[in-house]
Amino acid sequence: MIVSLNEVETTILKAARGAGMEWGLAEEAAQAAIWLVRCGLPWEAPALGVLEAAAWQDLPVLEGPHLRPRLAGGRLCPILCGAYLSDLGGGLALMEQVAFPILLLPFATRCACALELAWGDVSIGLIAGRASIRPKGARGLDAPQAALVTLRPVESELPEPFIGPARPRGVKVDARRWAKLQALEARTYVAASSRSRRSGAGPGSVDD
Amino acid sequence: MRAADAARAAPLRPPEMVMRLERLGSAHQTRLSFLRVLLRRMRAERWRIARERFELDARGVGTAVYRVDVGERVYALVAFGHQLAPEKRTDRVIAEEWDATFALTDGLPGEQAIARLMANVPLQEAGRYLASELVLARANRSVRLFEDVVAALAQGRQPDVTAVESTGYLMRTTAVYGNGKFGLADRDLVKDRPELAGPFQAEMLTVYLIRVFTVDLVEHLALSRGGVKAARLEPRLRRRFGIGNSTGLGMAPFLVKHPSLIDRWITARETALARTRQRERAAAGAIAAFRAALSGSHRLVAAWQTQDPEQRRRIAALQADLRRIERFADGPVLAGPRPFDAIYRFAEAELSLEGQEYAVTLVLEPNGEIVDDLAGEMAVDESVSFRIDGNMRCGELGRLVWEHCAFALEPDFAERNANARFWYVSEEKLEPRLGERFEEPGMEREQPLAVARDIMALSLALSEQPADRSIASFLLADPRHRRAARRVQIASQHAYSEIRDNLIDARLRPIDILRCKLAFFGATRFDPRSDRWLRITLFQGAPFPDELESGDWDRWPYAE
Repeated sequence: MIVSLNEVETTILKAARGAGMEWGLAEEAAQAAIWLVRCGLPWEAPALGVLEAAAWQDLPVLEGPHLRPRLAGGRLCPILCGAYLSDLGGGLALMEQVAFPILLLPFATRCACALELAWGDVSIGLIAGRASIRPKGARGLDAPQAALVTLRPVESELPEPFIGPARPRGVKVDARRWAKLQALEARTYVAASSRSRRSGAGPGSVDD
Repeated sequence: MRAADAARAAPLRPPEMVMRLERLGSAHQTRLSFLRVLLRRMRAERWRIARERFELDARGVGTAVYRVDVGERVYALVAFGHQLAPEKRTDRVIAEEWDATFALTDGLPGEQAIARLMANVPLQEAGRYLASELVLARANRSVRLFEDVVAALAQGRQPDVTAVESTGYLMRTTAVYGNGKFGLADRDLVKDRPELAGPFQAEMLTVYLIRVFTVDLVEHLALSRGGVKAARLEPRLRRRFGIGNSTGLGMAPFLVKHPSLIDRWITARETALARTRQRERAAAGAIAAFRAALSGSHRLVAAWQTQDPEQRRRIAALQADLRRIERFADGPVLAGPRPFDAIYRFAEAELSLEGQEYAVTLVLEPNGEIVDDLAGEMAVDESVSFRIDGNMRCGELGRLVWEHCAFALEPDFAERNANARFWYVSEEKLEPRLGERFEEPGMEREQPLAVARDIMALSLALSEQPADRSIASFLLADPRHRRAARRVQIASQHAYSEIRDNLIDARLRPIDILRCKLAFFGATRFDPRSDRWLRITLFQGAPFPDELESGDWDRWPYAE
């Protein structure tokens, strides 16, 4: 199925809330997903993975420019930590045990200075909303976890080609994953009662 | 006058006044309303609207296509007429069938596309759409008037003017969807096109074309019934048919979800008012235009009917207010200095809220040349204000709450009444609803419309933080306040971004929120059917496509 970007945004927003994320973070999750969609990068499995893992419930420990999980075996939520990175506009050097680190990219791209994010074999330069990914077609880009994500400001020119947000005419979704997102979304809905049917939208009408 | 100079020169009405729900709920259409902006552009750019296809039978069942040529681009309204059993006709979202269903397409659809639309558009929300479609809508007949008009025309006579005026439309839309809903084109795909850059222009175009369709439909049915003796609508009477619309809570969250956008809308209107009030003198033409709008307004307001007792009271007060404006304007004021400022100040000091806001509408009317450009400033890239400045200190954010969001600190949320309601989305209809917090289940699934309560909670939390702690660190440790923190930062940059009332208060009238948005659309004849939904009229009095090039339509809402 093809869905619009607006549908991606509202579905991720509500699914994140349905999964238990605070509204303000759910908004971040939705914007992050949209950025990845626009760049043609993997988003659906990472977003669903983060929501299913509910990693934001483990608050991270901040030591200078390092973030790590509070508990042994814990994972950092890329939405919570990405939002922190975006809020600060930089200033982080190291994150340990990050779930779906690709979800950090949309946040890193909001930083004022050019940044390089690296995990595993992947290295991504980010500047002014655009990304340069090495090696091309890197495996591990959508890894479910990175033991270590490093961030450093880059001075030099970033290598071509850049990926930047485009305006796709909708995006194809995987039916199974989309259904799971919608199931999370449904957790924000309130079942009807006889009272809500009567008054939730105002008394009934006579059509004339 | 250059925009920047004018905006600097004149103070805008303060947000503490403008953004109160009671005043927002007294808003009226102005020349910056979206449908008036659309019609001005249509005329200026000589859009061509043609009936490309009209294959409907004697019951009104079939397909019609209207083609709109806008410079290099073409849009089309695809309309499907249906036969609807009377028991299935309802305006509410529970409906599953309608008298007519519509899609606005980007480009002229071919046979294949029309076949695909025919399989989906009649299903509305249950269908799927592509980025080649911009808007999805449906409408029901206003049964009695629709039948009376067909019957009259079939017999070769014009319908009864009083009946036409009292209803004001042949069909009313019960939903108009755009921006990516159900797979439709995202706004991002078209927002750089000048004709669709302004807010809701594709939706307004759709509604305008639906209005054309409704008139074509009654004339077609009359011809089928009456044959050669059938009449067509006389142009002046034809213009009295607008298009109706029923609107409920579905529209309410929009104003809360888009703070920086709402700020643009209100800023444009308030800037227009400020520029107008700065005018040193009124030229003879402007005085005549003001008087014409005022005199037309007496008629408009007299024809504004509703069963809602509160709105009836307000309409009566507005009628008295208009007479007082008239008497005041009959004096030396219009020939004196700053005439429009004087009119507005008189209204603010003497009239009801409806009257005060109507005065805003009236003083803008003769001042198109200094206010119409503001229509180009009513859209915004919301992503610009999305990022939180986390380097701000807790003490500073706390100060911003006091400075820009004091409304949030007024209610006593320990009181039951201040917390009485909660907004939720119904599982059954997937539509926003308002529930009673202490009487109904579901408040743990509350939608984030309790802005005042959440900002109050943020303010309390901030007061317990070291003043020099960064917001980034505060929000990392306590993400519950993230949304409120963002809103306060937005409010500090966008004076009109927040409705300055408690949206979960026991005394909340949700229709006030709807009315504000509908006034920006250009709606007239607000007819509350409860505190949660209302009917309105759009485009009543507007020229039809074949009239656009003739005559001066600048103040069409007031024309006879």
